[in-house]
Amino acid sequence: MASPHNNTNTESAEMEQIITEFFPKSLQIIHESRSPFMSSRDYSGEQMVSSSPSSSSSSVWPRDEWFNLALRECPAAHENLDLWHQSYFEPMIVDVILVAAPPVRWEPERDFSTTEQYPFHWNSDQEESGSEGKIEKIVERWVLQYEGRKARDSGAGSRRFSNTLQTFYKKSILLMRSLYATVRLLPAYKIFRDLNSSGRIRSYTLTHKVSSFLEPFTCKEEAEMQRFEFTPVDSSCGRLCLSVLYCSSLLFVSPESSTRMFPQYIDDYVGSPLAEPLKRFSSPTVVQGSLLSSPFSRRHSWVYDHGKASPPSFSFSPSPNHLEKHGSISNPSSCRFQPSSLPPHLPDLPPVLKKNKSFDECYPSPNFTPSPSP
Amino acid sequence: MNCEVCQLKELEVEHFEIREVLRCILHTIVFHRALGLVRPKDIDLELFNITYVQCGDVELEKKIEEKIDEFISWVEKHPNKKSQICLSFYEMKNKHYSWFNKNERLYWEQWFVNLHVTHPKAHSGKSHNSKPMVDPEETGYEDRGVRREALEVSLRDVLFQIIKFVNEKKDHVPPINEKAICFPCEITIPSFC
Repeated sequence: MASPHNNTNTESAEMEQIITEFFPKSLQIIHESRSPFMSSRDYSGEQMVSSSPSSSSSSVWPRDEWFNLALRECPAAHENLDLWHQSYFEPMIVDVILVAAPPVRWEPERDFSTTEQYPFHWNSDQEESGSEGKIEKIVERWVLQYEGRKARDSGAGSRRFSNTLQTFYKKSILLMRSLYATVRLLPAYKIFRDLNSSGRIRSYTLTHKVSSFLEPFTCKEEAEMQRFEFTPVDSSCGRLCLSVLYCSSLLFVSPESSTRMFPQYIDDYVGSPLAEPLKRFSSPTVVQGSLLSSPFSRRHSWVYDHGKASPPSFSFSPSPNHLEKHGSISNPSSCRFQPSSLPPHLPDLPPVLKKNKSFDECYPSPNFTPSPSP
Repeated sequence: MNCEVCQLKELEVEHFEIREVLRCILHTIVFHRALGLVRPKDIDLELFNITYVQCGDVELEKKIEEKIDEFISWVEKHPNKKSQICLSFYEMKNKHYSWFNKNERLYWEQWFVNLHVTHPKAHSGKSHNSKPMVDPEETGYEDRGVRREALEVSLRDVLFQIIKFVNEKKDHVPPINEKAICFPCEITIPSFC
């Protein structure tokens, strides 16, 4: 018969396991709904009824069934996560980044029949060479953290601790359910759906970056974002915390929503004898930067209509229901982050930021092939 | 045990929108109460730019569809009315009396979905005095577009309302029954407001 002390140790280990698994599971949920071509959307198999992960007698739980949420294995989401398995006191910062190609240069040899469908030219050469001129914008920042606290009185007895374990796991399951639903309601999910829905080449894509180092936003960037904080889940020794900062309005161009570009004869193209050597070429304005411009597009509930054509760059404007200010990217360099002290709106994070030990950057592409799981 | 009640924001919907709106709301609630092992299914609404999640249980899906059918039939008999659909979660408690055993339902959570089903003619009756000789079809199209957008925003607000409620109130949720995917629940259509 197991002694109460042994039971406590077992339950303590199980609680630690739950905390540890919180990070990869959350990352998987975020990754699957933000990384095109890696989604498990429409993957609905038969209901699996297996031994419950919440049973205290179960010691080996399949990874994808943690928190009673069976998700398809996603090796890419679990890369470099062993670090958190070892030290779950490190926060996990997941930045979802919208990457767009710069405005296209017009060339007379260009095939306009394809241009009218792809206003942006996604140059694979640029991608390979380090994405010169690409515009990047963090559209979401997820912060996952386990906040430890002083151990409570452990002499209350193993029975009370058992209830705490079960309750803790139940509340963690609820948290995961909420996360799973929320990622599909935020604005970035629309972009993910567009990218995933068809195999067409787009001028923009979503990537994500996982680290334990928080690069604060500028005041301007922060003003564009909304915060949603999930209620922390308490354990006997700390609490699981999850929050997201997100752009409440995303204006971008998709082939379906942009104004169709009709072929134009350009007689002063670069190199043309009619062109002045030092002539400045204005940005093409044929592309509307709003989802509202086309009567055939479905209006996004976060779109703020400026009522004017915008240059083919990404403009992030808050919904009038949420923010009074709105900003735009007028200078791609504003997307560069300048590490500084923590922003005041994130008081829960550790005051001292360590150098990130694990930096995972994923750039999913149609040709992305995940490495086989070990 | 306290019975937590959540009154969801009222939505003004037209008849053809009822099914999608109710599916979205009811399945979102159920997904947060199906705490057994689930393989979630993403469902993209056709009328709105919203994706919601189903828990994937066939029996639950069937139960929800039946209740939606029942509600739609009721609406057809009572047009232009405000109504409530109640989704309740309960536990079965066995009451032992001296002469018989009685199973009693103890409700621990109730969700009220408030709908105001409007008739399309209510919108076409609007007059734009400042716009003489305007094509009513064009005006009606714009009105419907504006209304649809507003409904999408409201529906999204309702979904966030559900998520916030689920996040903020967790203590009243009973222990998970490993033999069931979802807590026992019932959907009722009480008298209209």
